[in-house]
Amino acid sequence: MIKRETARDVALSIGAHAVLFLVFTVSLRFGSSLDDAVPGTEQSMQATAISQPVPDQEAEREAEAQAQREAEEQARREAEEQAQREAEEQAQREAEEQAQREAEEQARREAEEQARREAEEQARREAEEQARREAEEQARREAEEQAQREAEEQARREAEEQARREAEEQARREAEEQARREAEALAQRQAEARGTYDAAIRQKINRAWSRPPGIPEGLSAVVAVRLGPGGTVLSAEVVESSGNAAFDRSAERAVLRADPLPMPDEPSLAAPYRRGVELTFTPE
Amino acid sequence: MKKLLVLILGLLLSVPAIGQVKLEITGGAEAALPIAVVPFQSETSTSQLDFANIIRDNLYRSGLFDPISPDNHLGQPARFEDVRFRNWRALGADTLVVGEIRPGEGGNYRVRYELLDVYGGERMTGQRFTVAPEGLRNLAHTISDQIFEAVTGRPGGFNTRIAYVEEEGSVDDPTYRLTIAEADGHRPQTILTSSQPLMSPDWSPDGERLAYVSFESGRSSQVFVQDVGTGERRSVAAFRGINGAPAWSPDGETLAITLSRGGNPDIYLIAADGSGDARQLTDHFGIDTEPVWSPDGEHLYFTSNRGGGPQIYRIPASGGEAERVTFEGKYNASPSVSANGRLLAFTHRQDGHFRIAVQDLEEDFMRVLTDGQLDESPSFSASGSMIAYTRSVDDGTELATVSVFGRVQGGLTEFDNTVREPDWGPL
Repeated sequence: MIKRETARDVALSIGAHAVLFLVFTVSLRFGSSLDDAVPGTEQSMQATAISQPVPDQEAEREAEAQAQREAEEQARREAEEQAQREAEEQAQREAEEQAQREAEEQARREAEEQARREAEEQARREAEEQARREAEEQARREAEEQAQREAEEQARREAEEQARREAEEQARREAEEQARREAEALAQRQAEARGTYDAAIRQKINRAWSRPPGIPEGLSAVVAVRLGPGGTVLSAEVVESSGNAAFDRSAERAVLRADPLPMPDEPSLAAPYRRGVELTFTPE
Repeated sequence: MKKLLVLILGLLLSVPAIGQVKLEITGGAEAALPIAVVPFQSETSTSQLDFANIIRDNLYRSGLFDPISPDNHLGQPARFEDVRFRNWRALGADTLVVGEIRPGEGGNYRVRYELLDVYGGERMTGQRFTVAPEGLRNLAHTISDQIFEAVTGRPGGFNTRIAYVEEEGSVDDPTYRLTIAEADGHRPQTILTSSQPLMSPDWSPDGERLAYVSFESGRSSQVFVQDVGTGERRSVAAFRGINGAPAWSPDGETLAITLSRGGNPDIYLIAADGSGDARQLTDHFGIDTEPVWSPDGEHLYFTSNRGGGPQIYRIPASGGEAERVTFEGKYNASPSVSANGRLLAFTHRQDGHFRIAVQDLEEDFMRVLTDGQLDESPSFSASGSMIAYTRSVDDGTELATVSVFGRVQGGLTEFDNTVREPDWGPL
């Protein structure tokens, strides 16, 4: 758009110059002298010099000559004017033609230029479009590839995660199974140890248990015992009284006298005893 | 790893067989409790009397304690802070008594003791006293009581008195004394002397009076009640024939006595002040004598030969049918009832010897407690854990005690005289 305006401006400008040139040439013709040798007027001055007749008789002849001269002058002026006009017309036509040509040329050039520019523009746009499409295509492909890679990566990770979870689950089940087997084995050994050590504890406390004579029959007391490592009696406390202080005390004392109580060395077997032993004392 | 531990723990806890250990301890043995009574620390020579030894003897005689000889003691601590419990555990002492006697103001003594639990390593009881010199023995009994009660939960009854009759001199010219001694036989005090027989002393429930039989009027017997503190005495029964074997009712209002005014000896009830007439309780052609009251005052036990040999019978205090109580052996006499009414003590003939036996009145189970040749006249201590009685020695009889449980028996004092019919006074 801008360029089209510019081309028109150029054409107008050229036209204006041509008009100015014509005006200038005409005005030069009106004010010119012979000295004013201007290349553009040389022809018309020559042409005028060629068509002028040369007068030679008197009055009549003078008159005739006058008339002749006048006619001739007239003719000459007319011719000159004609020539002038023709020259001017010619010049004008030429100028016009020139201007026309120039304008045409200009227009042509401009058209060409325009076409060129448009072509270039077109080419550029097409190139741009092409580039854009290619870029888009490229971007699309890259995006696809990226998505592809990510999807693959995701799938891989999920697969790994799945595998890991399954492995963990498997390990956990195995560990549970192992723990269960060990716990069962431990329980078995604890039960065996319990059989042995319960009897030993009972025997030792029973031997240590003496109570003052004359305590009423039918009494029973429960003593809670806390045991340390090696069966050390940490505390012995009546938790269910028999109602008879002497009986209760005899039960507590029996535990303290029997200190330390027989207990397995192995911590896992000693564990039940370490959790506390509850002893029910009954005379019969 | 942590998870695994939790899991294992959970599995362990889920197995019921290995929860908390619960055991039954069945059996044990009855035995006197080993106790160490450390000689009381003393700066004064006046406490020559072995304070700790009085306590030791008291506890020993109860049958519930086994005092460790001071010769074996490891050190002589006087206060809790100085005790090394491990030593006493090694010695086998369950409980430990430490204390001191110091001179106080005005010739008095300041006495302090502590009863310590050797296994618990703690103080069970203790107290400070200020006493006059003559109060020291009683204080030793009081402390014995406190120790006994703290350990057994029952009253000790060591600070009580025993009344008995002594007979001295030749058969031709005898002297009879009504005597009161401390429960360990020490410091006897004669409250009545007679050339005629004195018999059957019986403490009033308040411990202020004694009822007894005296033949002082000549051939016939009377029942007297004498105030122990003032010596005031008066005859409360002087019926024709036998006036014997007085026994105070638990409320102190009534005396059960043996009278033969009906022809043969029966049990009668009279007012303790001698007022009014006697009310006949038993009426049998056999001999009924030696009545004692059940602690609730509802029944009387007495000796009767109505079944042939002497046996113990029981009759309601309001009267009615008498029922036989003893069945083992052919001779059971002189009953005494324990303070809780559960046990009956009596003289029981076994293999030709007379011994002290107790019968559980609820379980009908009899045990012979003594093993002497001639053990007679049992009387329960107020606390019910001991029985005073007489036993034969070379040239007479002596006062002895036997523990109801543990059967510790022994003489209380060396007498030249013959001792008869002890009665153990109230708390």
